[in-house]
Amino acid sequence: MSVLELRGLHVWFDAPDGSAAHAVRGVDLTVKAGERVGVLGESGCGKTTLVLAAMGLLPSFAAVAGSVFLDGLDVLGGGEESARRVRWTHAAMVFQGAMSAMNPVHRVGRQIGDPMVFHGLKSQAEAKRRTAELLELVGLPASVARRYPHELSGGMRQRAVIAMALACEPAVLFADEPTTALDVVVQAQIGDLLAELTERLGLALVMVTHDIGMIAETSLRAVVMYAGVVVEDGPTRDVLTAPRHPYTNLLLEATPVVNRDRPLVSIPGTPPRLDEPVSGCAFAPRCPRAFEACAERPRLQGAGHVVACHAVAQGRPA
Amino acid sequence: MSADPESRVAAAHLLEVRDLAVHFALKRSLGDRLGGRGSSVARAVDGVSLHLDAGELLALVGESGSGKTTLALAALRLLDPTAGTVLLEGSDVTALSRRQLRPLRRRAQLIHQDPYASLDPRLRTRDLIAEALRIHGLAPSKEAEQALVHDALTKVGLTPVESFAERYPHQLSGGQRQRVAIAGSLVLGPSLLVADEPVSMLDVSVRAGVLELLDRLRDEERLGILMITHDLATAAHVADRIAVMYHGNLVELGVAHAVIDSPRHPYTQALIHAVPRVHREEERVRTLPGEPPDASHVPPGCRFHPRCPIAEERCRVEVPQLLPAASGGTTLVACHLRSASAGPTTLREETLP
Repeated sequence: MSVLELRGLHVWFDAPDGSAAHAVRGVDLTVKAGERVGVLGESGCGKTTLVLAAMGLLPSFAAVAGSVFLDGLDVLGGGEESARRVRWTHAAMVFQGAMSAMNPVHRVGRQIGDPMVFHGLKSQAEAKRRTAELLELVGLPASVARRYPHELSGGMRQRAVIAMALACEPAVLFADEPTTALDVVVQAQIGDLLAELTERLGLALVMVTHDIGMIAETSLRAVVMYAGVVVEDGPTRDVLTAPRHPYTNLLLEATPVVNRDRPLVSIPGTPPRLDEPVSGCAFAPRCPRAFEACAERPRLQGAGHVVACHAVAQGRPA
Repeated sequence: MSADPESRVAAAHLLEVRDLAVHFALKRSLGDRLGGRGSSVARAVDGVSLHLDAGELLALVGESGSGKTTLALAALRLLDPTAGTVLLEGSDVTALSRRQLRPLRRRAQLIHQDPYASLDPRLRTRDLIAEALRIHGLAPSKEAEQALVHDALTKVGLTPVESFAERYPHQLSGGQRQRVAIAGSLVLGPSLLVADEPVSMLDVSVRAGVLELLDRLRDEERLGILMITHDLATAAHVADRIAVMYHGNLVELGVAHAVIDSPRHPYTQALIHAVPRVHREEERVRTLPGEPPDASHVPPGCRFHPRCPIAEERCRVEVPQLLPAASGGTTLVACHLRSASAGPTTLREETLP
């Protein structure tokens, strides 16, 4: 049973000068209940936009085409009201900066309890009890409920935000770079916590990050995005140890690894500008394996581990 | 080599930091003062000694709050140290007046973390680089200035120079901006580069390029580079030596591959273990418990003992010194249980020939 379904999703951002940036250029993605998916990509690849669209959180100057179904409910079809219906109760989100995700003038406990009360799931008193349970669940002492966000460390704040996201028992948890602002040791703690909780509670996790290692440690399925499209999608182990798309391959070679003696590479060139039309494969200008066929946009092909690359599809030697 | 005590005395190091301490005065809340709680100083850096030679890249690794940036700022005298000395090319930086420091400033340059914030958005690349020359009065003529700017841009790989020189920061990618920042330092002819998380704001695909550039500058320009990073994987790839900081102290210092392959301090081991990785042979054990240290609350004894999996009674009482590791090699470690001289006698006998 799928809890998230994106069909032909396109997102454009209008600029004041009349141009538009085509940030997501046709994405189909299905996430099953309890699945842990890592969406990998560099800045500007559209990964955050994808998640915002799925939550119905895009700003007013964004234009959207395609459809998003969350837990069977149409997110984009009914305007703000239908998006409001799915948020918190069907899908919740953990943002990158836990400090800015919380209101600095309210105590942590109230912020965790608010969504439950607001959505009419709990009375004030019940929400308070549930808040204590949630804090315990994310490994925080109950006393944290009486603290203000600035009194917590970065790691504790991110735990509190995760507790908040779990408050209304969503089916899907989105996490946008949930560990980027944190220290290495705390990063590992938060990554472990997200993987552990989603598994225990049976919710789907969609984690968006540029950190390959974080995906390797937390996700069972890896989706690689480049210039607004999905270029590779498969079991994390396969995608990260036997990448098929040339971009995924180069990205892995560009990532520093502890305990591994090999030179780092950088990928020549820069990603395409999003405000200019992209024809064919967007990665072709930077790709060492590009050939004539790449003038046409490749489709995702394969079974289980899919890849959008003409060179791979035609079995050309790497 | 760092391990040779002879050369340590004979040849002056490019940078030598001795027993450096930087304490910040804190404001305590009234409640804390009445209750006698909390300390009124944050001991950001508390007695650190290290050195760096020309043509060497030393990575300073640690969590945020470990004091690594404070140490670097004090070494550049952008902060006044509370105690200790800093020798740059043999002169005591801590003893000089602001005016006397001026000529030394161009010999020791700082690369910031965020090239989106460190470059003036209203200046073209050529002016960003020339500004430093003008401030230090290093360009006698327009032509000389142009030549120096051209040279610096070539060195950092921003070619064709003519095209990059005319661009504004917003017309450059993150990697290109960081190269401009590096060019702005290089143009002054420094001997020491302090790079504070130089690639952590950049996309993975361009990080390698900037790291390669630092690598090349170390070799070709014989720069000494002090690179601050929280990322051990990055340090493992480019550093000659790695210094690990925890709570204002050095806890381990050694040749990069030795620190990565056989870390001695339990904290270093935890750090390496925490690095997320694609290829993991064994299942990861629980991550290090507890929170990163708070500089205003210094635990007695070894500062790591509250989080340490192997801490013993003496660790809670006695402060460990940075000493050669018990298992041999050139790595220095500040741990009662892992350093040679402080270990149990049986262990010392074992290491005798």
